[in-house]
Amino acid sequence: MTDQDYNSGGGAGRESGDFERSLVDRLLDEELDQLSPVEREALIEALRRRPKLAATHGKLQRLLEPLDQWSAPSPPTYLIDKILDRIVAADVNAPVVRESTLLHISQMEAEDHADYSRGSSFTFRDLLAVAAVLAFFALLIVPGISEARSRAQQVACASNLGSIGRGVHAYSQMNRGQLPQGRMISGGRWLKGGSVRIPFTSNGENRYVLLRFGYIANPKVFVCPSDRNAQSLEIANPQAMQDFPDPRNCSYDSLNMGGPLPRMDDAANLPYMADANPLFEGGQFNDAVSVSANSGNHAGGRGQNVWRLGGQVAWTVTPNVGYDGDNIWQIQGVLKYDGTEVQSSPRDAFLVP
Amino acid sequence: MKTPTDEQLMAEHLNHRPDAFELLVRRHSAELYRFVYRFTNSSVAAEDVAQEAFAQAYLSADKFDPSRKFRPWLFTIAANKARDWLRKRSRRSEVALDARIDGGDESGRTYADLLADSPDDSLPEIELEEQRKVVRRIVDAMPEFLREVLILAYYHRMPYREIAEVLDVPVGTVKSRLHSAVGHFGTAYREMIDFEQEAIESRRAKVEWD
Repeated sequence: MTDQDYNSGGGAGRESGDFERSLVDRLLDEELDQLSPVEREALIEALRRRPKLAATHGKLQRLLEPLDQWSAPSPPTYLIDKILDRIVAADVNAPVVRESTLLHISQMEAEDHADYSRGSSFTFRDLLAVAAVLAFFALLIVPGISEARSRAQQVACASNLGSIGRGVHAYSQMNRGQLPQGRMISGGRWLKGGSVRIPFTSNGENRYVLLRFGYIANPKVFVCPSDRNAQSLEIANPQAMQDFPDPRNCSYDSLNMGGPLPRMDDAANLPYMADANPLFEGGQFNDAVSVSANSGNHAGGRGQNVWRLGGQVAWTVTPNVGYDGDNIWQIQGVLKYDGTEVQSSPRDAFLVP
Repeated sequence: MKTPTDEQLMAEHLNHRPDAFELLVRRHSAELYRFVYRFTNSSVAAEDVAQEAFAQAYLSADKFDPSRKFRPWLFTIAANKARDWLRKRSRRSEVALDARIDGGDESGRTYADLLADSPDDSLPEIELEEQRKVVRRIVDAMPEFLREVLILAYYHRMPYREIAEVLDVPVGTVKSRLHSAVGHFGTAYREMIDFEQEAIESRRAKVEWD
């Protein structure tokens, strides 16, 4: 195809050819996320009006597609420790590592990854391994196989929330007691749809900052093993993104960060994160679902795991587990939601997608 | 309260806040590891270079210009160390090293040329695992100056001006190299897929003949 072939919408000639060539260049810029919103808008308009440009765009996408198949592996879990050791070795005066408030986080991660060679004490992961072995034998010998499997998944789900919770605490330590916060704007809408005048502002971004800034290394902990629709995030560089690209990448809902917020040290019993809120399953308000329903993550709506700001994870069979029996799925007295509602006080748990 | 930026953390590190640099390590180590892994095609190099790069960044922190971005500065250090690693291993030919000196792959076709004369039909489907191996082989065999720009732009979505900083070249050169790299990849991929297909068909023909 020559430059002139694009000229369905303009005159021929060198100047026009340069213009068309620059449009083709823009296609690559677009594929690499290099365009500003205005430039992107102009390109989309050009694509709409010029079928040949759109065809070239398709070719470029097919050309680049195979590159996605080459995923780089995750770094070994000990890499951060080795880097920190190397810094200390390079500079004996290094104050950075050994006095760090974050050091214990590395230790927690090390526990998570069960590096037995270091001879650590009995960890929660060990407990989980024992539970898994017991669950395995239960599968072999006990009638009611699915029940045993559900319980094993329930334990693994609680472990996920524990890991995320440690990330929340680490974030808070580094950010003067604040909870993880993405780009959420006040007055936005945390559910998609509705009037365009109120912009969508993802509450999921607030959870994603834990991955984005390395407080959590493994995206799989955001996926509840009982959640059949879930799909773990597989991406080379989570740092380059702002949010989970697919809602299925996160099985858990968390405190609406658009409303009044508690301080970490002031509301230890406040539920912060739990299995998905059934009222907003699928990213929209389902008014047919009872507010007393349990999360849909665990088969049969048996209950949900809930993580509180103080660090405790518990399995609950009712959503009324906030302060004074507060329902964690809703704002007291509010029956319909369009995504603009926020909790009434810092002690009102309201967990949303 | 917002999460501190990388540059704020560097400033706090220079102000002797003890944990600021550690947070930078935690933020960037995984991405840096993956960059070096793809650039060198070696997990050993990725591990070594990530350690070396952070150690040097730590020791040279006072030379960091706080008006610039931290991420390209860190990647500059890592890219230099990765190139040193490749040279030590003599994995690259002299031709590739020399080619880096000029502004672009003048002999190669840009992606625009490739798109202009490639047919509309899709390439034959091959197994995903096979596709992965082919991509890895092609990128690994690319001249260094094309490979690095492709990895930074495609896999790390780094803005052009930051890539320009990492590679110490003008933004225009980044773009022309990128166009060459995509053209290079597209041509090589089609050739290799055609080759694989021919091999599969000749094997199949041999089986039928036997």
